[in-house]
Formats: sequence, C-alpha cells, structure tokens
Amino acid sequence: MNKKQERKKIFKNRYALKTEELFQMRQKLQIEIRRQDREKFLVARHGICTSNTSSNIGLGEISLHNTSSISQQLYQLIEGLNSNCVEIQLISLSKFRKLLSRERIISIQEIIDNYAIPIFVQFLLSKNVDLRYEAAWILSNISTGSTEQIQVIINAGVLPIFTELLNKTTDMRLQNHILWALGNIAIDNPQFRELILREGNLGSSCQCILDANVQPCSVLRTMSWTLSSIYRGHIADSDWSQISSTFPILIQLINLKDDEILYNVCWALSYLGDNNHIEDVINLGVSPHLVNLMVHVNNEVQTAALHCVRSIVSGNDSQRQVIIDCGILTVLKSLLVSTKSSIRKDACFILSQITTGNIDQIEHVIHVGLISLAINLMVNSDFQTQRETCYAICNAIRRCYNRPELTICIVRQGCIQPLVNMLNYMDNDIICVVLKAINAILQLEKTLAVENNCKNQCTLLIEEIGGMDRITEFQNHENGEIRLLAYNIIDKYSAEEDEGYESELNQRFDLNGQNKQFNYQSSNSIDNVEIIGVKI
Amino acid sequence: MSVAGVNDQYLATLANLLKQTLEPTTRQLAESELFTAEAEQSNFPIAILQLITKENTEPSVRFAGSLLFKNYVKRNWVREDESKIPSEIRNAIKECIVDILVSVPTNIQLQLSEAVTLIAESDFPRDWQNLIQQLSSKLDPEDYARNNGVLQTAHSIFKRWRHQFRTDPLFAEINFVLEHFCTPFFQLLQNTDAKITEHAQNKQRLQVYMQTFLLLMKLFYDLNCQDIPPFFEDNMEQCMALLHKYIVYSNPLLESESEDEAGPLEKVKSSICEIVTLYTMKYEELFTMLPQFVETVWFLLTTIGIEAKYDLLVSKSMAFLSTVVKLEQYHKLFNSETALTQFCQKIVLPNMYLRNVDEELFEYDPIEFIRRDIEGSDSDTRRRAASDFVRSMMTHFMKDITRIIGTYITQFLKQYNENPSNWKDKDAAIYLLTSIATPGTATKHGLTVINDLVNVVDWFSENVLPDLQAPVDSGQPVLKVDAIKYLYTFRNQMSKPGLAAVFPLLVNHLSSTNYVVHTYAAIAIERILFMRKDNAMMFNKHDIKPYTQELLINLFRLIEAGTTPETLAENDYLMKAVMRVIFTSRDDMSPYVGEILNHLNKILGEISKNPSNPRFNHYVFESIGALVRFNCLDNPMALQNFENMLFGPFQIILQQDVVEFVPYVFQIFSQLLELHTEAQLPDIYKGMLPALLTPNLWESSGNIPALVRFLHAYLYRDSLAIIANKQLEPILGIFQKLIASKANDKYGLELLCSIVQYVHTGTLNQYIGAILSLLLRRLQSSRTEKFALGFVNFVCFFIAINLHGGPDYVVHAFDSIQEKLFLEVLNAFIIPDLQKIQGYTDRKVCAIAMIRLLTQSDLILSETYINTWPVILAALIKLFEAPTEIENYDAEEELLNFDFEEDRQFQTTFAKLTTASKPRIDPTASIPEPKVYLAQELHRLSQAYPNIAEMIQTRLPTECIHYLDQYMKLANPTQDNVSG
Repeated sequence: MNKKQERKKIFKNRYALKTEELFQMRQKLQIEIRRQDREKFLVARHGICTSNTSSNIGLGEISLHNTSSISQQLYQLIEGLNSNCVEIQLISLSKFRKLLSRERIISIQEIIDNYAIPIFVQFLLSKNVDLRYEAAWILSNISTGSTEQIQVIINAGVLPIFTELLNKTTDMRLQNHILWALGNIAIDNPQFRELILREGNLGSSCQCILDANVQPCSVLRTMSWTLSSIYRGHIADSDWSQISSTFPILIQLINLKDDEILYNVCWALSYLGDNNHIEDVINLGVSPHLVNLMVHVNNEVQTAALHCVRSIVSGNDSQRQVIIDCGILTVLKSLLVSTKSSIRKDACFILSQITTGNIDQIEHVIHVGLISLAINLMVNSDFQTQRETCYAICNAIRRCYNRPELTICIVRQGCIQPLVNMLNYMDNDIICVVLKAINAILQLEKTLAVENNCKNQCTLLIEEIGGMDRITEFQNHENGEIRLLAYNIIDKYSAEEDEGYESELNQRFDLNGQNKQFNYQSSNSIDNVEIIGVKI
Repeated sequence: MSVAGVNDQYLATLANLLKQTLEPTTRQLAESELFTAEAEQSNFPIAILQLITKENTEPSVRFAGSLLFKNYVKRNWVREDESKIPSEIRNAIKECIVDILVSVPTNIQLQLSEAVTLIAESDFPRDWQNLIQQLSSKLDPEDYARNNGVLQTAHSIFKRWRHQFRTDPLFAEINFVLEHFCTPFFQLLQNTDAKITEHAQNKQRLQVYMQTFLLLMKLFYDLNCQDIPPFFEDNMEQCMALLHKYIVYSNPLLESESEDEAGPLEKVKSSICEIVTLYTMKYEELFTMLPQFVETVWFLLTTIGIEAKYDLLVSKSMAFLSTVVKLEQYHKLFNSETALTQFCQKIVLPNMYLRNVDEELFEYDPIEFIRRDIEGSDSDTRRRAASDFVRSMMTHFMKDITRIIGTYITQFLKQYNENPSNWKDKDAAIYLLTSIATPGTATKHGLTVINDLVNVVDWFSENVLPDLQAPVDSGQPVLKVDAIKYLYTFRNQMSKPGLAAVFPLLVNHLSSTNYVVHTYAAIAIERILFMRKDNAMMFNKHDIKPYTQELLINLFRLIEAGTTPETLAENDYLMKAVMRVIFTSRDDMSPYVGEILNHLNKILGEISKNPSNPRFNHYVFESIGALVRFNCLDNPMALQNFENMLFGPFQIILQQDVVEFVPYVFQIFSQLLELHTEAQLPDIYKGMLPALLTPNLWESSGNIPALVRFLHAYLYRDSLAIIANKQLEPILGIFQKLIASKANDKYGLELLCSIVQYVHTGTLNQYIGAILSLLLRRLQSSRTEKFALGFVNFVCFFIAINLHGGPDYVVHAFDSIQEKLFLEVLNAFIIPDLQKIQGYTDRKVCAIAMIRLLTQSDLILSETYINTWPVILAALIKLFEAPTEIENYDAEEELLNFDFEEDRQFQTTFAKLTTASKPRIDPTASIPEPKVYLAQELHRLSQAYPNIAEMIQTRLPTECIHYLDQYMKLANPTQDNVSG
C-alpha cells in the first residue's frame, strides 16, 4: 500500500459514515445472577468419565467394602503398582481406575495423599499399551478434580508427556483419554490452558488424529470438545499462533456433520466470538454452515449454533453483514415462529443485535418481514422473548432516525401498542429502551408534522392506550434516567401547545430587516473587557 | 468503641447542646455551636454515636443525637472532598454502627438505619465488605425487635436495586449479597414461620412476628427483583409453600381493628401478591406453583370484605390475576364460560360498585374525588383494578367478556329503570360499559380505539343523554357526573354536530350546585374545545360565540366563590376551562377583554397572598398571555390598555417578591415589550432595566430563563439604547456568571446568541475577543459534554446568521485571540461534535453554518485552513446522512442538573408560558433545503476556484462523494455529478 492510500485509509476510518461511537449498544453483561445454560453444559462434560464399555481388561474382583480399611487397600494397590510384574501392575491400575471412576470409593485427594500421581505419570511412558491406557484414564479422571489437585498432576510433568503421546500414538483409546484430560485441565483456568498451549503441537497432533479418522468417531467427538474448552476465556496474544493452528481442524470437523461434533464446534466458535475474535470466526468461512445449523434438526446443535451466531452478530456492521449475506434473515423468519420458546428467544436476541446495525441492514430486516413477526412475539410470548423482541424493535426504531419512511413502516405494523404495554413490566432496562424508542417516534412525528402539516397520530395513539399516563407516572420513578426520559417526553410531546399561534408571530420577526437599522460605529476601547463581572 | 479520645466531659457538653436544641429559646445558638463542634472535632460523629448508646442519657437527647448523626452523614459522607471525614473515623463508624443499631430503641434505630443506608449507598460493597455479615450475624432466633431493625436496614439498602438497570456492578453487588445473605434469610424465614405457629395465641408476639414476616417478604422481592438467584430457584418449592401458607393464613388475633387501616397480615398478603406477580411476569417458566396461587387468590378475592383496609390487597390480587390472564400459556386456566362468568360476577362486579366510603368522599372531599377519578391517581383503588382486570381478560376473551359484562349492564339498567333508588346499579353499569369499551384509558384526547362490539354512541343517546337533559339540580348528582364523564371519555366517537348539540347542556351544568357536577362540566367543556380535526381545532370562535359570555361568567363565579386564596386556587379545572375558552375565542373577546382582565387581576391579587396550586397559577398566566397575544398584535391602543391594567398588579408581585409568580411576570413583560413597534424603548421598560441587571434577581434559578428571555426582548427591541446607557457590560457580566454555572450555562449561551445577533458590529468588536476567551476558558477549566455542544451550537449560530461580515468575522475573532485558534476549535469541537447536535432547527443552523464556512469564507481557503476544508465537508455530509443520536448525550450530567433543580423546590422552578413564549426562530429560514444550498454554493465556489473540484475528488471519502453527487442532482437534475 502506498503512502497516499494509507493516509486515505486513515482518513476514511476517521470520518466514515458510521455512528458506532454514538450509538450505545446494549451492554453485554459479564455477570449473571441466574444460573446459566452454559454452566450446565460445562458441568455435564466436566464430570468424571464413567464410560466403561470400552474397558476390556479383566478385573479381579475387588471387595473393598469388607474388613480392611481403605487406606490399607490403597497401600496394597500402590504396592501392586510398584511391582515388577506387568500383570500385577495392570490389575492394580484398573482397580484404581474402577475405584475412582465407577465406584467412587476412593477420592482424588486420597490418591494424591498417597503419592500415587508420579507413579501414574511414569506408566504413561510404559511400553505396554494397556498400562499407558489405564494410566491415562486414571489421570483424566483426576483432571476433573479441584485446581489444586490438577496442579499436582501438572507438577508431576503430565503435560509434556500427554502432548508427546498425543503426537505419537495411534491408539485411539489413549488419544481419547488424553484429550479428555487436556480439556478438563484447560477448562479449569486460563493459566493451565496456557501451559497446555505452551507445549505446542496441538494443531498438528489434532490434524494427525483427524487424518487417521475419516468418519466421525469417539475420539473426534472428544477432540471437538477439548478444542472448545481450550478456546474458552480470554486468549493471550502469545498463545494465538497455537490457537489459530487448530482452526483448519475446526473447518474439517464441521464438515463431518456429526451432531456431537457440530455441537462442540459451535460452542468452540461461540467462545472465540465471545472473546472478541469474531473476525477470526468470520475468516474461517464457516458462516454459511453456522446459519444452516440454526435450523438443524438436533435441538442441541441448533441451540449451540444459535449461541454462536449470537456472538457473531454482536460484532460490527460488516461482520453482521457477512451473516446477513448467508441468508440469516430468512432463517430467522422461520425461527421466530418456532414452537420452542427458547429458540424463539434466541432468534429474537439475534434479531435485536442485527437491528443495531446500519440503515441498509435494518431496511433489509424490514423488507424480509421480520418486524411484524417480532411485534407479534412481543404480544404473545414469555417475558424473556418479549424482552428480546422489544430490544429488536426499539433498536430498529432508533436506528431509522434518518429514514422516516422506515420508521413509519415499523410503526404501521403496529408496534406502538405492544411497546406501551412493555412499560407495564417491572424491568427498568426495558422501560428505558421503550421510552427512548417512543421518544424517537414522537420526535420524528413532530418534525414530519411541522414539515407536512399533518397531525400527531402516534402521540394520540399513545395517549389513548394509556401510554402517556404511564409515562407521566415515570416522572416520579426512582431511576433518574427513566425519570428524565419521561420528563422530556411529557415536556416535548404532551405539552398542549398550539403551533398555530407560533407561525402567526413568526412573521413579525424579520431578522434581516431588523439588522439594517444598525449604525455601525466604534466606541470604547478594549480595556473595558476587564470589568466584565465576576471571575470564573 | 475503637477510636479513643472521646472524654466524658466532651460527651456531656454535646449532650447539653443537644438538649438545648429541643428548647425554642436556645435552639438557634445550640445548633450553631454543634456546627462548630462538628467542624472542629474529627471524632464528633463518634462522640454522638457514643452518646446515643448511653442508656443513662435522656431519651429525647438520644433521639436528637440520632437525627443529628443521620444528617451529619447525609451532609458529609459523600463528597468530592474525601478529607471531610478522615478514613479512620469512617472505618470506626462502619465498625460500630450496626452494633449500635440493634441495641437502641426503635425510634432511634430508624434514624441509624437511614444513616447506614446512606453510607452503604456510597461504600457498599467495595468499601464495606463485611456489612452483610455484620447485619446477618445480628439476627437472633429470639430477639425479634432486633431482627426487625436488621431487616429494615437490609431492605432499605437493597430496595434501590428495584429501580436500577442491569449492569455488571449491580449484578456483582447482588451476587455478593446473595452469597452471604440467602442462608440466614431463609433460616429466619423458617424460624419466623415456626414462631408464628408456636405463638398463635399470643397477640402481642404475633404482631412482632408478622412485622418480621412482612420485612422478609419485602427482602424476598428485593433479592429477586433483577433476576432469579440460584438459591431461590433451588428452594422454590419450600419458599412458595411458605408464601402460599401465608396468603391463606388467618388468625382472629391479627384482624386489624380499624376499618380503614391495613394491618400487618393484609400487608404481608399484598407483598406476597407482588412477589407472585413478579414471578409470573419474569420467571414464569420456573414458577410451577402458579396455578395454585391463581386458585388461592381467586378464592381470596371472592371472600374478602369491602372495608377500605383491604383495598391494597384487593388491587394487588387483581393485578396478579391480570398478569396471569394476559399470558398466552396460562389464559387457558380461565378459558371456560363458567370461569369467566365467575370472575366477572364474583370479582369484577363487587369491586365496581360504589361503596359508602366513595360516596362520603364524593360529598365531603369533592376535589379529591375528582382527582382520583379522572387523573388515574387512583391506581390502587378497587374500581381501577377491576377495570384493569376486565381489560386484561379481554386480551384473549374479548367476545366472551363483552357478552358476559353486557348481560350485567342490561340487568343493572333494568334494576335502575324499575326503581330509580337503585342508582348505584346504573353507576356500575356505566363504569362497566366504559371498561369493556376501552382497551386502555385516555384522558387528554379522548378515545379513538374502542371495542367494536359496543356501540358507545347509541348507548349514549339511550342511557346517558336523558340524565343530561334533566334539570341541572335534579336527580342523583353521581349519575350527572357519570353522564358528563361518559361524554368526556367517548368524545372522539361523537360527531361534531353531536357534540355541538350537547355542548349547551354542559354549559348549563356549570350552574349546578354540586361541586363535582359543575367541575366535571368544566372539564368536559375544556377537553371538547381542545379537540382537533384534520389538524385544526374542531371548535372555533364562531362555534362558541353564543356561549362565551355565559361560560366565562359562570366559571369566574365558581372560581371567585373561593373565600381564601387556597380554596380559590384549589379547583384548577375551572381555571383551565377559562384558559381554553380564551384560547378558542381569540380576538372575539375584544369587546369585553377589559372585564376578563379585571377578573384575572382580582384572582391574581388573591392568589398572590399564598400561591398554593401551581397548575391554577399557570392557567391564570396562560390566560393573560393569550389575551395579550390575541388582542395586542398591531394594536398599540390595546397594548397601552393592557399595560395600564397589568403593570399595577405585576409591580406588586415584584415588590412583594412572590417568587412563584416572578418568572411569569417577566415572560408577560417580554411578550408586551416585543409587541411594541416604536423605534425607541418605551420609558417604562427603560426604567425597569437597571433593576433587572442587579444580582439578587438572578439568584433564583426559576427567574433565570425568564430574565434571559426578557433581555432578549430588550436587545431585539433597542440594543442601541442599551449600549448608549452602558448597560451592555452588565449584561455581559450576567452572561459570564451564567456560563460559569453548569446548571445555567445554556441560558448564558442563549443570551450570547441574542447579543451577537442584535449588537452591531462596532460594539461587538470591542467585546468579542473577551467573550470568546471566556467560553474557551470555561471549556478548559470545566468542560462538560453539554457545554461543549452548546458552544458548537453557538459558533454555528454565529456563523449562520451571517452578520458582521460573514463567516470570516467569526474565524478572525478567534484567530485574533491566538494564531490558528479557530483551527483548534474546528478540530477539537466542531468537527467531532457536529453530529451530536439535536433538534431540527439547530441541526439546520449548523449545516448552514458549515456551508457558509466552506463556501463564503476567504480565510478557510487560506493555507492554514485549506487542509481542513475536506474534513469539514465530510463532517457536514455526515451530519446530513448518518443517523442522529437522539438520546441524551450525557444523561448523567443532565440528571445532575435535573435533580439539582428538584432539590430546590423551595425556589421557584421555571414554567414556560406557551402563549408568551419567544417564537422559535430559524435564522436560516430563507434557505429551505440545506443540501441543495450546499450543492449550489459548491458549484459557485468551484467556478471561482477550479482546484476545489480536485480537492473533493482526492481528499473526500468515496461515500461522501457519492452523497455529494446526490445533492448535485437534487440541485440541478440535468447536470453531471462532481466526479464527472
């Protein structure tokens, strides 16, 4: 790029016709009170892996419930681990694993307290595949423990070994457990995740596994989940190359069209989007897939896709445009009439983000016919959905300010009554956005009424359905901003002024004529300035 | 207590001073000594707290101490200047105050609780992390008086959540509280339940426990108001079971003895209704016990008595049912003929019926009856709640409800027609009809949206009109009122001939001896005269000509019947009707305008003694303003007469400093002055000016807008005389004072606009440098967003008016202060803020200013500015094209001023008179279409300077060029675009 172009670009950015800086987007809350769906998702995958169907190792019968104490048996088992005989080692290991995972008879802490961790880690390096497999399984279970407990296995040097094994082994069972363990460790906290990334090779290891498996299978499902847990939370710049090395994997995974994988990939992309990497998600070119997945038959995949798209449309106008170009508006049309209320709610949320967009985008939304559907939902749905639709409509109204015909189009579809009804909800944010939207409508109407000499229909309608009464009451609201908005609306649009009088008097003020009478003369010197009253 | 150094002697001195504040003779001195003590001793608040805890101190002194402490906190805790209270004192107070709170008697506890709330508002949670633990550790399984103190405090801290927006800090605070408070809260809830069960026979204890339970319910709401906490989700079943238990609970010992006052049990039940309404509205998907509550509340409503003490509970219960019946997923609970009939019969009808208490109000406090009835200030009354319930049921069952209620209406009317002593049946019938006919309520403009299934016009002729046609003072006054109110409510359904036909009947009813009847007649007349059709008033001066005199005679008679200033001003509806009649008659009044003015003067004289009703006052002055406006235009004789009649009373108002009226008087004066056409300022105004320039008038914030308006009139009328009398400098002094204040700076800028507009160039030259420096200094020292925008607005106005030598005068004025100063102003203020300017006229003025600057300035094409030229053009195009931000640019700041004004209600607040207002002037009125003007001017400029076109091509963003092309086409459809 030559200098001139570069300068032009800066210039362009500075004065481009955008108003993001002025338009306050809905604040994205980081903190929630209510228990979140996403927590449930994490909890479900975080739990101790109890899969035992794949286990084909014969277990010696263990009877821990009888006489001897647990610590005594633990001691015996550890002795077994330390034996020279692979058979005994294997039996002891699987007993450990069984006690830990299936029966939960011994706790992770007891294992740690008995210094068994380094022994397990050693087994990972064993030449015997079964020993490695059992050890990895146990460690993956331990990785569901507390942060301190995970710290112990990290201190035992498990991460480099895992990474190396993942890179080398072709044993799918082993890969599976390593991936579980890495996912659990990464999900615990960002520092651990960084440690994993620092080992490197994540992208290439995953690629190897992917190359070995053309069909969806257990290990690929686990891998997709592991990646999603790696993307979670803020990503440091230093780790970015590691993270981005896994992007090609995601694209390949999404093409496998396996429900569980799709589900995990959608979450993985959601996490990226939530952490300000929307542009990277867009650049992966998966947007058309995501939009298609919004109508996936599997409810879980659909929900995850909706979450992912939610996070993308909360980006900037051009990012939203990519999604719009993938045909999201038509998809939303079908989702807004979905029979599932949670789907309708998510769809409304997405719509509310799109209507913060630029005027062309909003025009598109209107032309596709989404507004009337949304208004319908604002009348007939649960509170959460009403809330989202209310945002969608109000954002659109406020964005349409310079295009009266669009605002009028929204108003004609009957938004006023439902908006006024929303004022009855005990939700201060909603009251606030509705008041702002009403203010925008009335302001526009007043301008149009002055310009075109027509009457204030909306003011009248709002009055009639009790809106003005409600807004009058808000003048005493405890919330200052609501009070102020209400005060302004009542002051400007409910005041009984008779514009007729004004035009009459206007004619009497002839500015230009008045000024001609002035005699130009110079008088006192500039020193007089000092006597201008009080000091600031 | 942790901070030492408070000796007994000091405590004794303080105790003595506090005691003296209770005696009228020693009060003033003692108070000032306490102030001194407060200023001198940093441990003053600690000492006061110690005093409060000492049980051997007199109770009255302890109480006075608690009040003082609360006020001390209010005055000093939250301040920009943190050093006012040293941090060790702050910490010491926070350490001990909860302990003290729970150990003192209730009256003192209440004051300290408020103090804790005030401190918490600023410090909690960040700087008072252990507050919740402090509070919850004080909860005691046995000592309920103490518990109530703790809960009261907690509630007053948490209740502000109810009104706040969702934000991360708020949610963090709520989560923080939930973490520490849920468990003790829930324990106490269960404990209190157990106590109530255990002591079911002990009235005294039950009262205390019920109070606790009530506070727990309020806290329940606080904790759940923003979103449902996991704790409550997990314990929903248990909590709701308890709530349910108490909504059906009854115990003869808790029956309130009064008929009117609700007891704690009724309040508890009302609170529970509020909680379940919240859950229904927001957490319906989790609230599985909802149907059970519907049944219970329905049963409650069918069995509850008609006494006033149950009013709140009844309206909260109906509000709950209203919420449920509107829900798509629950309306089926109601979906059967039997259910709907039962709801109408057992809940709606009984609560629609006029009760004895209502009749008493009608008779003994008519104005209060009217206010509650007409203004919807009766949101908690049974009738209102029943009406709302009917409308809510109609959301899904429009037809059914119309039919069912219709049957009752017929039946009630029949009962009345058979025996007129059943007039309450007819009253209920009319009320029922209004409820089903209107989906919402309307006051100002009447209704246009109604239920198609009801023909309100036919119904009027059949059932209402006869009551209006009967002699004025015959029959039941309540039915007269119903009839007038019916007309009032459905006026938009009536045709103009229909209304014109009943209009004389309304006029007749002004002579009713019944207060409510004649007031309602005035209300209906006023609203009918306010109706519009096709953007014009429906009734004009010719329509009301036959009635004008009778109307005014009757209205003034009714108003002047008031024997004291307060009773005279009590009925603002009558005065509003006077105002509307004047508005409608306009210049038709001229033959008897003197008479009307006499009445108004007389009323003014009376209410000046004690201005008690702001609305009444406002209508009086609007009436005067309207008379001036319609009668004095181009009529010097009339103007003279008006001045003669008005100056006397106005002077008295000014001399006696009736603060409520002074701003009105200045507005009328401004109006009169502007109507003068002679070349020179009339002497009487000339004489008044020096007084207007004295500081004391400007002290009252309510006067400021009116005075600025008045000075505008002076400058507009005769700026030369002002300059000759050396009065411009004091005016500039006022400007300076105003822009120094964040609350008044906008008036300062308004005044400045008048100055640059009307003061001629020669004089302006002397001052403009200093004026601009003052503005810039203010921007430097305490810039606010609002002031910065006001500044941009001013500079644009200055350029747009195109006086004093056009845009270059303004550029030069800045640059004379400092080299390239205007360039900085452009870059720092005008270009970035241009788009934030609000309002149609202001935006147009800004646009024209930028066009003039771009195309009519030589300086802008000079080397210094030429690089900025395309940037200005881009900003201008952005102003045209990009969406406007129409919300408040700085809500915080506006709020500051807003609350500031509210705090000063003892001072007059400014109320603008519509009839006397300064006409909104567009100084750019001669330019209708700024975009076209830009195109034309650019075209003209590029003829003279060929390199302009090139600059546009190379330096302007592509989008902008695209828009510019559009303007060019607008200006000259045949011409090629600029880029061509």
